[in-house]
Amino acid sequence: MKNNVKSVVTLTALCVVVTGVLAVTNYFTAPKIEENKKAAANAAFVEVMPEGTGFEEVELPANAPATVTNLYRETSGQGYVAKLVTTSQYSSGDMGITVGIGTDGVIKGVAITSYNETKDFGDYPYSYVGADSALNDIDVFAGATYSSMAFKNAILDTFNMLIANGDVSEGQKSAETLMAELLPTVFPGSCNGSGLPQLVETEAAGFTKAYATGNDTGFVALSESDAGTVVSVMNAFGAVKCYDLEGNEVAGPVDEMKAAFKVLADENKDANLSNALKAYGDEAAEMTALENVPAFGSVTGGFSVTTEENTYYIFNIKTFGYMNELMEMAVVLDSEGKVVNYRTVTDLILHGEYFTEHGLDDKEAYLSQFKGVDEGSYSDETAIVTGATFTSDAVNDSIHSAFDAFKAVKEAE
Amino acid sequence: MNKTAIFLKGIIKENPVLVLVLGACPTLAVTTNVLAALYMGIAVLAVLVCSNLCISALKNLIGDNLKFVANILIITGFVSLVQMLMGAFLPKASDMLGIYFTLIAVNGVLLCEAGDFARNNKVVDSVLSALGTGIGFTCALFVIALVREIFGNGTFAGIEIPFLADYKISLLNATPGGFLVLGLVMALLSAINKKPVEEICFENQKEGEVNA
Repeated sequence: MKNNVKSVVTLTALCVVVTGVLAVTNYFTAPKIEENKKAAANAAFVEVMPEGTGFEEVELPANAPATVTNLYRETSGQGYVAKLVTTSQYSSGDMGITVGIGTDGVIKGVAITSYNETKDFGDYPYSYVGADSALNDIDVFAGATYSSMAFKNAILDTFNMLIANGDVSEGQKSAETLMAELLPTVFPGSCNGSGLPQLVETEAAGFTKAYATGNDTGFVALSESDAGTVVSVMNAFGAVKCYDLEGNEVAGPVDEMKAAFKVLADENKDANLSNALKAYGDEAAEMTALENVPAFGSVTGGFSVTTEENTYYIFNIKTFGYMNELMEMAVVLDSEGKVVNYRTVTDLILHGEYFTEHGLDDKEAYLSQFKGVDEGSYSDETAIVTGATFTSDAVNDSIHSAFDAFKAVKEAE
Repeated sequence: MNKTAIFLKGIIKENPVLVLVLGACPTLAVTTNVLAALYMGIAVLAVLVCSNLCISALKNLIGDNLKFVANILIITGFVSLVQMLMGAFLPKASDMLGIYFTLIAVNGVLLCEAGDFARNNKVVDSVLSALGTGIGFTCALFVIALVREIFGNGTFAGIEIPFLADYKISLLNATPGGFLVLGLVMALLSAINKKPVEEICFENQKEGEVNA
């Protein structure tokens, strides 16, 4: 009995001591544990907004695009974090993006949370950090794939939503950015299949900035006039057009463009000749180089051959294929605008090892489909190679570029 | 038994995981990562030493009829204490161990040490035994985790190992792989002991009876 009493008293005392010790420990550790938990929950947000202290989810605004799945507000009013999901045409799954945008309209951080493309996306997304809605410092001339297009569009969607609601301020677009937006319309031959200009900066006196297109289709330059900034484009035929930043055609430095780039343009012309002769099929034929044709597609040069029966027009074309690699072809048209021959200089399916299951069984049969078609009878379906979107797009671009150039030649005549 | 033997028995001869096969739940759960295994081992070591010390010190004040309640109270008290401290100062370790750390409150390693050894031995011996058992537990977890993480995940403490990362044996990461590695390490230890595991257990049991 005495032992039992001793046990019970000890046990009771033990309970009191244990409870006391735990209570004291809890008193000191609880705030720290709470802080750690909050930090862990915020970690994903802090990655894209390093100075953020707390984040709360807010309801998606009515104008939210489909790409934005969740929106969080930084509780001290520093900005917003948006979770985005986008599907690029070429990915096997969705791409998850988290982006932090400050109230000053500057991107504080970007994180890719899921990405299933087999090809490496590289550091491209991280080049957006520090940019505002104008995306001025982003190298839009490089890294242009379907994934990067999808990424860029998702970021712009987010900006548009936040700017429209007055949550963040809008960035000021630079002349280069506005020019890049203008080129797909005024000089499609300078852009890849995703509509991103592919330019190489060159030196040319008298211009603020001067570029050669990455596919030898011509030149682009920015210059200042009394009326403002002028975008001038010159194609491979030496034809020049000038625009203001809104895309209206204006008078501009036409002669300066021709003078600055004539030598380079002539060099390209010489290289084109042998390809044109091969496509025509008679290497002894006498070719006349076409000049000042106002067509701004992917044509890198053109020639005409007049025989007793007919006049033929041969257009050399360079388009951007898979991974922005160049695809070179030549199209021969007769005086009616019908395709007489379609010849490829480079491989038709680039990166064959990537497209193992999409190889063409019979390249000649594929190319011969184009024979005899003209602009009226041609359908984009003809060029489709299942699974090889870049090739199909490039082939369609080449055919349309040839038809456009032919039309421009005929109108000039 | 002398002091050295008391300390050493838990490491090899009576290793809690590899010979007594106690604490299999945390063993299988946390040995997919070397760091998690070390955190678990050290946390268990701390709880073992503290609870053995208290139980041994209080053994004369608490009768046999209440010993189990008292042991559980002391062990859960220390588990809660360590968990709070870990949550506050080692949040990464706390996240890695998760629920499995709380579960050691009813872990066989601790209950066995507390009930069998601490209640029947002096305070200093109990602390030595707890140290030995804790170190034995930590070593066993570390060795199993080493094999499972390096070959099952191609990493060491989360850092990728160039060649092995391309040839992961993902079975090792799953529970059956855990049993497999546990079995292999047990076999290795009984080879070192030059006796099958059951025989060692039997001897230990006999020794216990003689001591009692």
